[in-house]
Amino acid sequence: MRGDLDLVWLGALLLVALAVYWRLDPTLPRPATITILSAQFLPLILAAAGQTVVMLTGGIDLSLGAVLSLGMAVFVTNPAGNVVASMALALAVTVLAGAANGALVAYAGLPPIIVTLAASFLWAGVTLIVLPQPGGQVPAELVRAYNMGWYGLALPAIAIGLALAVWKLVKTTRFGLALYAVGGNEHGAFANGIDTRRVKIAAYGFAGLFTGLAGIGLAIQTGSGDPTIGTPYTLNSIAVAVLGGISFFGGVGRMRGTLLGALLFGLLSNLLLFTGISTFYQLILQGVVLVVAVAVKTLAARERVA
Amino acid sequence: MKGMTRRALIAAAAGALLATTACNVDSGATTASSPAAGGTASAAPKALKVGWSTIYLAPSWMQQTLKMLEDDVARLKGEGKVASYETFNANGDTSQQIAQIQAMITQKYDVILVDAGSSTALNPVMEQAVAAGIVVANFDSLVTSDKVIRVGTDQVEWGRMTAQWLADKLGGKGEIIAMNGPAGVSVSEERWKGAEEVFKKYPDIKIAANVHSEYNLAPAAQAFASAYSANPDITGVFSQGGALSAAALQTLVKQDRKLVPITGENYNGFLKMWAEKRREGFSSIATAQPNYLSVIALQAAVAKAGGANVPMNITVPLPEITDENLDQFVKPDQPDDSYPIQPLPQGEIDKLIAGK
Amino acid sequence: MTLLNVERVSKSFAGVTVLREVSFDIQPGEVLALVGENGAGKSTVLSLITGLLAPDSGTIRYAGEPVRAWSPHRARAAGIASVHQELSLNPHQSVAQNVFLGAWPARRGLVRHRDLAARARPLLERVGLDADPRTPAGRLPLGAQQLVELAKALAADPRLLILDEATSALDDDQVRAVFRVAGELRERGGSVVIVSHRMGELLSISDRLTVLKDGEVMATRRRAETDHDDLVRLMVGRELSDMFPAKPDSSPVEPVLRVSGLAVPGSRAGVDLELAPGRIVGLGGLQGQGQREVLRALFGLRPHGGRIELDGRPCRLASPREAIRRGVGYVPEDRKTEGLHVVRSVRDNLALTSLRTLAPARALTTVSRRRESELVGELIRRMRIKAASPAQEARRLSGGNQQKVALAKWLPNRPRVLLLAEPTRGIDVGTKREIYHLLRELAAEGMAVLVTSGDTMELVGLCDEVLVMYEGAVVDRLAGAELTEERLVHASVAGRAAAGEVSRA
Repeated sequence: MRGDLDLVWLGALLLVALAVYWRLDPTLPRPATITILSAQFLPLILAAAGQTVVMLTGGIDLSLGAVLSLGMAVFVTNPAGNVVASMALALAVTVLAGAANGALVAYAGLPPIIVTLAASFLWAGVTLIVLPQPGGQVPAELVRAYNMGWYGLALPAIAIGLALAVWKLVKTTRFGLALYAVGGNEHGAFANGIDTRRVKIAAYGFAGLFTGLAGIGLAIQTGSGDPTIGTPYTLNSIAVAVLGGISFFGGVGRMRGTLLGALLFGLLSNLLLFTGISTFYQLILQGVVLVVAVAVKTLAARERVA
Repeated sequence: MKGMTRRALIAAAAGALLATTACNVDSGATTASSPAAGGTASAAPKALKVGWSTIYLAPSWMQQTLKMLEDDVARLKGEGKVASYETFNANGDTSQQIAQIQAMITQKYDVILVDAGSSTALNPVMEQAVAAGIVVANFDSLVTSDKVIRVGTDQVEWGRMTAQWLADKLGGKGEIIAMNGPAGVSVSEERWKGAEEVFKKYPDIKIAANVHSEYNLAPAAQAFASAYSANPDITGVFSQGGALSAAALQTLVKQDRKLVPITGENYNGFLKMWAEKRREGFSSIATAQPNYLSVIALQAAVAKAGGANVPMNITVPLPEITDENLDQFVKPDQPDDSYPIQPLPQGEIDKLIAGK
Repeated sequence: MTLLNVERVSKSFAGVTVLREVSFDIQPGEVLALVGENGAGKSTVLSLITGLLAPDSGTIRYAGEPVRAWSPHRARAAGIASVHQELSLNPHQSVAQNVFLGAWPARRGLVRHRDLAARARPLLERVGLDADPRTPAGRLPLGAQQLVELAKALAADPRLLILDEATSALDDDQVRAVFRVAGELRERGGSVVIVSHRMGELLSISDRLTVLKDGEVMATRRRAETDHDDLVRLMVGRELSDMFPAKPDSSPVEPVLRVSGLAVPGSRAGVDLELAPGRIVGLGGLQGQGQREVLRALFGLRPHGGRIELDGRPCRLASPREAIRRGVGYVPEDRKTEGLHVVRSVRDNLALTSLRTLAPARALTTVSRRRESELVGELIRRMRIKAASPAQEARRLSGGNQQKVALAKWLPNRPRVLLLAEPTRGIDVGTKREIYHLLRELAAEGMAVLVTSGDTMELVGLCDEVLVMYEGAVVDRLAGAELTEERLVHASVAGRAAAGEVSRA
């Protein structure tokens, strides 16, 4: 299978990166290190998962970073008085924000890139109203358990596993299949009686769920909220999704590719921190690695088609 | 299959790339662990591995800070106190900054300096570093954690000091325009808080307009011009940032109006204009977020790592630039976008670190 | 009871009337054929029935009830299934997932892939397709994909099955399978509406035939009451001989462009062709067999391999710029995106390719307005472009006049080779006739013309020679007495020359 071959090559790269990382940091396989690394990678993985859902419909979400901050802000202001309820509220807000993006894309017929660009300003503004400056509260025990391990369990890794399991289930529902159908051939899906608008709104809303989880993870990792911290996640999540083999044109790609892409992306930028090369060259190197990885995949795909 | 071979090649190349970078790290690690060149005396504490994680590196203020920091690192290396030094630029990404500090913990740095991208988000990781026995010193943009050494200036005092000068200059009465930074930015809010305290004491000073603008010349000039056209009779301007002051002064000069007193900052573009218009009776006061905050943070951290007792909060007094000492600061040959500052005498630094 | 009633339905797009008071009906247990030229309005009628479009006026009754708020979703739920020439499959999903597209059987909310494949198999068997339901649909050959579409339509257990050029990519066996399915449906009291450009097929399967011309119903005939010639007369509205200009005697001329082994990405074999002044050559075959790629390659829009000689000298056509400089002009299929700047004026469009002559270097870059006006005026006269004024926006013109503008803008450069893709698609009959005559005039003036067309009548009527393409290769060359619709259709579908013929490809 073609998709699997892509993933094999990504997985091989990841193994190389892991091996090098292990050499530099011999504590890698220990639960403490796994906890720290998974806490560090969770926001990126889940943000990229959200981006993946949107990209599978053939869209793109430039407001992802803002929605992530929004979820984080709602969560840390603890509006419901207890952690679980605040979490649910934060997720409800991000799902609604995502669905609103989706509704604009579906009904206004505007290109997703424009809609979500505009929405990014909107949600950033709303975030600043909720949380004007860094602050808010996350219970200290939760922060400690999440970052240092809970009875030896890496909570962030478990959270990632759960989120991806949810996706695996959703992917096999009618909605999941419709999502791929709309992304692969929107007109065809419409002509076959699929309510493409509803599918899009649901997809963007579902992406909002992942994005909200990413924001909550980031809040627990940092023990607080910051209204502007999410911005870099917009472009990083796109880079990761593309690296993971998600097509810009929709309908093609798998979540496990995104997971591999996110791990590779995170490990690579961590590795660069170990190298001691000048910080500006790190950025260049990161860009080069991304371009090369994506170009190789594209070239390989082209050769197979030809 | 051709595609397969190509993929294999690329994977090999990528592996090689990673392997080379790994070698670099190894060599770096050995220099770090070998005894530092200068540290021959057996009684001397071991030379330290120092890293600085900063949210931005590109702005000129950061570049000047980096240069000042590197000069001091070179000196400390000569004294055998510092073994290695590394800069990490998060490029605006706070999550990346967390990863950087995490990586420094893993690599067993002795001292971590931080210019923070968020006042709260770095607390857990910085406290984790402290728990790992690392001395963490935070400067310039400060965090809320009290477990790390914090070296900064008092932004409320900034507003208080410059506003007091303006009130005195106006003899306690007049009409002014206030130029503040963007709403919601904590630095701006704090400086204005200090200024407001002062102006409350002078009921005869009327604030005709309170303008918010980015710390950037073009938008500030636009914002000031519209406020000024509505209030052409003002007798002074309270401005809390260099670019804002430059924008206000530039507007007055362009429109050929009376050059009323404007408070400022050590933004060289403003200082140059000030020096030029001083002859025409323009008067100002300016202060600065001094680049030597980094040096103080470094020295405090090194002292603490050496076992000395160092205060956790070091508030560095704000420099005062006046009509009289302006010439020591202004650098006519340097670009507008630089922040000239006089180095703080070592004696002063020692006193701050000693907590006196 | 009548299953479907279409009553005085009209529809127009951007002021152009596509359907005018169209009425017909479909009975249970019958196969109705819709016949008409390209652009006669067949597809629009079908889109109204399947809910893709809504009529401007008139009523559609389904099972006696007028349809309201009609959508593909509702139409499907009401038992209307359709198979179109343009595939609605998602190439990235499996055959089984496509068969149940939009109506996946789920158990406790989850769709099980094994279950899906098992349910798809009998449907695939019914349409005579032997394919693994788990392969991605995009991997199947075109014909097989069309059968997947049919299986998908059957999955909905339809009362009304619409076959819109559903057999265009099928070979004879596959066509028989489709007709078998239609026959079974009819026996069980279902109805079928079929649209096809193959008249023979229609006459063999249908019970009644409704003829459309320029958006109007010309007649509805029982199968027994009509024949091929009768239908063609109704479709064209005049004798065929008047439609196309007379072909000159083809005396051998030295070709201006000689192409050998032209290969574009995706094509299986090189294409050889020769274009000579005064001759019109056509590229025929089913849709999407590489005709468009050949044209685009010759205009430098597509990377290509092979040897191209212009006037006997090898040359490279690596970019449109180069092609234009060597005297190649290209009128693309999609006028609105490639052929014209639709929001600019007719004048700007016509002058665009002549800027070099209008603004010679010594005058720097200013365009001489006077010379531009002369040029534009002359082109409008010569091509008989009907525009309110040269300042009118190109998008306000009718399709036919847009096409004339797209064609006319090349003339000032005196191209030696003119490439046209689907030159009359979506154009009314009158303008079509004008364009045929214009192309013949241009050829007579010494231009070499290459056209692609999905309209067999057009190729046969207009061209001196037609090359039939199949999966990227030329499989037959028809000229003179051999150039008939029958031969052309046969070669297109079979992918090889007629028996006894030796293909030169």
